[in-house]
Amino acid sequence: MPSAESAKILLDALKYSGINMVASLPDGAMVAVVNALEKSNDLIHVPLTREEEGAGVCTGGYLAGKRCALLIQNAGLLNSVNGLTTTALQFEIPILLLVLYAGAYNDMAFPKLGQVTEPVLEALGIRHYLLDDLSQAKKIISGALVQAYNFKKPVAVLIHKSVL
Amino acid sequence: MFTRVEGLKRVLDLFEGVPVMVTVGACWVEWDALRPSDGNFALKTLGSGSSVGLGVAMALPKRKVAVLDGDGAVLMNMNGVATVGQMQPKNLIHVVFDNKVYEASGCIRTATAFNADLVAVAKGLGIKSAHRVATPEAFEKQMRAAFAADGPHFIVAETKLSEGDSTFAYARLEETDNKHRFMRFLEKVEGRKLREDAIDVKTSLR
Repeated sequence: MPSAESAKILLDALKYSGINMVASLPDGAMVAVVNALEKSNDLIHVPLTREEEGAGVCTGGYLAGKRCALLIQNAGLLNSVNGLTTTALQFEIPILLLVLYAGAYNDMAFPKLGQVTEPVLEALGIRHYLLDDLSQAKKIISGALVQAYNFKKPVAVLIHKSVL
Repeated sequence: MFTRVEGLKRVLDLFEGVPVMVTVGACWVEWDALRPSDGNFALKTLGSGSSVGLGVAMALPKRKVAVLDGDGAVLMNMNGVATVGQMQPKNLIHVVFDNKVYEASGCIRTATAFNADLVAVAKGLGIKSAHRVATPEAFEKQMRAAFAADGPHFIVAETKLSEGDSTFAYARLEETDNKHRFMRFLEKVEGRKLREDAIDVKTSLR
């Protein structure tokens, strides 16, 4: 599927979920999504320079009443582990983590990242869902956000490259 | 050089209704004693002040938002300063008390004790209103200017170590209690509901 169309479906899912603040750091596969975020009038987009900042930005946004998502690659998820632990988890902040899953099945890039991603999330106690079928985007993204608010902690959606 | 307390005492009137993100250690203990308020947020990730402050400032663009930070914290997350330089939040005031040591963890020297210049860093990252002050009078003047004008502002205060043991124990504020109080403070000053206990799939997804 062309990436502009995927980006529209993902943005629609975020809008349906009422997400109104997104912090991001791009991966090559997410360029169309980041461009769509930048153009969107429905949300505040904060482009980051290191992913861990995103745990702080989303926490600040949540404290001030925003529904927040952090869009990053899984390398960036590893960069963010302290911020997620000592800010998001410690203060019980709901954040939707949208994580490009490099090294997932059928992806030859970053095999080591692919191996550690789910165990790291599990060690953090962060529930995660795989999005490898775009027709499920709205259900998985909104469902994960509902759960993040219910659990009062981040919940991750691992985005397979094939849907972008 | 002066102490944080000497400086902050002169400008407490500016903080009426202002949410304040405060870095770890003695800075929090002093600030919480100077201005006891539910509007104080005790940061737990070293360096996260610029990031949490930016999130609050972007969400509440009409309200002044302050960060009370330290040199070690800023050095750990200069990315946060870069992002503030990119987003240019007019309402964010980032105060850095530069005592050139990691005070909360045993006073080992930081990079500002050697060659790092945080004002030059902030200016280089696009924060035009970046200033260094070394006296309580200059601190007060710069703070009043920052609260009166659009920012973002970045004020580096050359401070000395406070009297006494900076690693002393203090009444622990449980993080979720801090969060709830802080959100209630924002709701009160904003006069509207901000907190969502849960998202109801039937009513609140759009």
